[in-house]
This record gives sequence, structure tokens and C-alpha cells, in this order.
Amino acid sequence: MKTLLYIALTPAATTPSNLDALGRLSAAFVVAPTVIVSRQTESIIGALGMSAQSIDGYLGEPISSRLLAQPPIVAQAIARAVAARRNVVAIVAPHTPSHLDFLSLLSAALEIPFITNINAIAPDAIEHLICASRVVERIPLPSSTFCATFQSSIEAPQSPCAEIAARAFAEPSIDRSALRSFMPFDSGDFDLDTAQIVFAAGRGIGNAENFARLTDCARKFGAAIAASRCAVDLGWARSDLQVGQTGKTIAPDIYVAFGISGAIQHLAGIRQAKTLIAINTDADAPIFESADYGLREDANRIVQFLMGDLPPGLSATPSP
Amino acid sequence: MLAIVFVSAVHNPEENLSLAGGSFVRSDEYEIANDFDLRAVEAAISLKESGAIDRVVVFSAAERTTHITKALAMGADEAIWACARDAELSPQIVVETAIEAVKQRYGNALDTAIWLMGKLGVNYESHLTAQRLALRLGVPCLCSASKLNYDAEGEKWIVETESEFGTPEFEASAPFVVTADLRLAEPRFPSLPNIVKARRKPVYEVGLARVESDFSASVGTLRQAHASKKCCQYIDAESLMHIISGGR
Repeated sequence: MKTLLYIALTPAATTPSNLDALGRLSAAFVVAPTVIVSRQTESIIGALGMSAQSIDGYLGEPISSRLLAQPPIVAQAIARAVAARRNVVAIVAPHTPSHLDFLSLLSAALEIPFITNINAIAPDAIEHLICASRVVERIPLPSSTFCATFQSSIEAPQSPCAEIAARAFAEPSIDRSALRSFMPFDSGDFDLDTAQIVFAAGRGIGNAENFARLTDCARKFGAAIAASRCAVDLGWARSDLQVGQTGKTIAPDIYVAFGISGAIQHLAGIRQAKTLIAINTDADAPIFESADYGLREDANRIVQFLMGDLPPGLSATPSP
Repeated sequence: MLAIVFVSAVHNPEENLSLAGGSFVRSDEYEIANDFDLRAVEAAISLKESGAIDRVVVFSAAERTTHITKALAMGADEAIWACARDAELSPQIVVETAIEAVKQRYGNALDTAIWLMGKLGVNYESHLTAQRLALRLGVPCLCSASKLNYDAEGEKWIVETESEFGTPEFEASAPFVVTADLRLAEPRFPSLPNIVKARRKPVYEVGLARVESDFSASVGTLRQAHASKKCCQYIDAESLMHIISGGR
């Protein structure tokens, strides 16, 4: 039977919304999915009883963060796993930076098309987002094996898609480069990839102390903390907390942007958030055009309010 | 040692995209050099200034030479221009054209060259060019570099990259391919004398390479449209508290 390979190397790939999306994709292509897991995701996939294949076997060692940080080596292992099969119609992964890196290398090694950021599938076509998610492009469904990243909110058709032929692959080779040192990130109490609520800080938060205060506030509400590129470059936040086109792409239920103006590059990373709430004193900030809810307020004042530090009379200043 | 830097043209992300007949209108007016690529240009020029690189060559397959001129004015030495005109460009065509042109002009210098480009374009995120180039040359591909230094004593390159898992630092010997993160370098503004000088620097025009079967070509476009926009509803702080408490 034909299969769909799902590359699930980081916890972001094991969120319920991404696994639901995988279910819709598999149904549309009328295939049974096989999940390629790493050490970080195998227990979750194993618990769900899904058909999984560990890439540890191809590498001869457990997939640690250290190995995941070297995309060419991991892509080589996955390429071997793909080449060993003759029934793969598509290789898919959620639209996150690391999965994008792995699939770029895989697509180049296996010489198959790569379609990024798919948000809908029709029986004979695919819709995906381009130009920092500002444009929806509709393209024909490929006729043979392809690589793709998808949004967790992907829409799939009621009726099955046109048949996709499974290609045969020669075993590819990808170069190794020597890793000299590796400073792993500590993901902290709440993982940004899987969090349901995310509080994100931008330049408007003002300084590192206010960022620390927002982090406390996020913890109080069970939210993960994130930052715009500007907040990272100013040294307030670590770079693994950066959300946007050059940072992480996330899909929480609620995303609250504190003092973020909403540059296109930042918005590209949060378009999948179900509810986007923007807090900014600048009424013309572009983030309000993409937000579900807006507060024209000073972000630090709202943090104070959420922490219960404002006197009662000032607590609920209505926005104009 | 030679540094070859790819510079591509992209639609200015700050400008609106206009639609006509189901697809976006590409206008020269709004085309700019990919910001990620300009950071790679800056990194290569700084390396030349520090003595690690002898010559910086810009490669571009953009329709116009504006972006090449900009890179030359920043301090690059010469350029190769594969004029695409109306041709549909794909990563594979760009890679084959660059390899062919660079081999022809610089021959053996390729054995110790480093290839640089931005880690992605703002239009499409399927950053295939660097990966395909590295595979075709059989050399390492180091993505999202935030630091790039040459250790003259050890005769090796030290490349720090950005990843979701940490900051891995790699050691590599040329040739290799490296892609620039925005943190790699801040592009300089060309000075007026350098803008004048840039006009006298050589730009070698070459044709596009022929590719028999192009896996990286677009699978075709049926229609393009604006992504849907949201309608913002203004709320007060108490409503915010209610939403985030309920979403737990």
C-alpha cells in the first residue's frame, strides 16, 4: 500500500492539531501514514499507536538535539529511509524552520518538487501561502512523489485527491560537515512549539526588566514566552524564542503580542494562531490589521494589570 | 581565495502586491535585492578586508543589473550576470548556470572557493538553491550562519549557525556553501566614490544553462490571490483577562 511519510523530529510535530492535519492529509491521499520519529517524538507517536519508523537505526545513534542541529546528517538518514521504500507518494512535515531545513535538503537530494506552507488541498490542486504569507497561490497537484510543509489548519477535500505515483529513488549521498561545538538551548518551563497560549514581546516592551516581568506574567497564565526579532537583537530575549519568518512558526490557540508593531516577517510566523490579540499604543501599527482583538494601550500597563498590580480604578481602561 | 555571492531580486515586502488576471504583477519599481543576500555580500566584503578572501564575485540571474551594481558599490570586485529576461527561473537552473559560468571564468580557483547566499528569499520559503548547489558540488552546506570567520593558523573556517535546538558551530575547509542569517552582517551603505567606481568594475554576461529535467521548477500556477485579512475588534483589559483565562 502507498504511504505518506510524516517527518516528526521535534515536539512541534506531535501537537494534536498537527496530528489531526496529518489525518486529513492521509485521508485525502488515501494512504496510511508512516511517521519518521526522533528520540524527542517517538514516545508520543508510540503512545498513539501510529506506524512509526525511527531514524536512529539509519544513523546508528540516538537522535539528540546535537544531531538535529546538523540538518544534512539527519536529511541523509531520512533520504536513505525513503530510498529503501517504493511506495512513498509524499513526504510532509509541519511548517517549522527545522522541518523546512530537513525537507529542503531532502527535496534537493531526492530531486523532487518542494511545496511550502500548504493551507488547503483540493482533489486536483494545492493552495499554499507565499510572499511571507500575504499571497495564496493555487497550483496543480503534483503527479508523483513530492515534499511539502503544511499548516496545522490545512483544509482537505471531502472526496479523495487524484492519484499520485510513487517514485523509485537511488540512494542519495549528502555531505557531512564537522560539528565543532554545540550550545543547546534550555526550552524552559513551557515549550513554545506546543503551547496553547503564547505571550510575545516586541520593542514596545521597553527593556530587559519589562521582558522578565512579562515572562512572569506568562507563567501565571500558563503561557509560553516568545519575542520579535527586534527584542532578541536588543538582547532582551534568547534567539530560540524568536517568532517570525527567520525564527519559529507557531500555531497556538491564543497569541498575545505585547508592543509588537507587526512587521510582515513577524506576522509570517504567527498566521496560524487561532486568536491573535495585539497590544500597542500606536493605533496605526500594522499588527492590528492581522489581529482578532486589539488594545490600544501601553503593553507594560497591561502586564501590570494582568499581574494584579494596578489600583482598582485604573484596572480596566477601555480602549478608544 | 574566492568568495562567490548569489544576489537575487525579490518583491519589496514593504510594498503592496497588486493583482491582475489571477496573478501578481511583478514591477521593476518594487523589485529589490533580497536582504538576506545583501548580508552575505557584506560578510564576504568584510572577509576580504580582513585578508581571508582575495576576491568577491557576485552572481545574479535577476532581470536587471541594479542589484549587481549595488553589491559592486558595496565593495564586491566583479560580477557574473546571467540575464534571465522573461525566462522562468528555478533553483536548479540558477545552480547549473552559476557552476558553469564560475568554472569557465575561474577554473581551479573553485577548489578553494566559498559560496554564500541569503538563507531564504522573502517570496518563496523553499530555500533550495544553496542545498542543491552543495549537493551538485559535493560540499558541505551550512545553513543560517550568524558568524563566519577564517582561522588562518589552522587554515579552516569556523561557522556558527542558528538552529531551533541551539547554536551549533561548525568547522569547514573550503569549498563549502554557507547561507546567511540576518545576524551575519549589517549591509553597509555604498559611498558616492564607490558608486562611481562600481560602474567601472567588470560584469560578465553569460547565458542560462540548459536543464533537461528540472525537479525544482514550479509545478505551475493556477491562480494567486491576497491571503484573507482579519477584522480587528477593540477590547479592554478586562476582556483580555477573560479571553486568556478561558483559553487555559
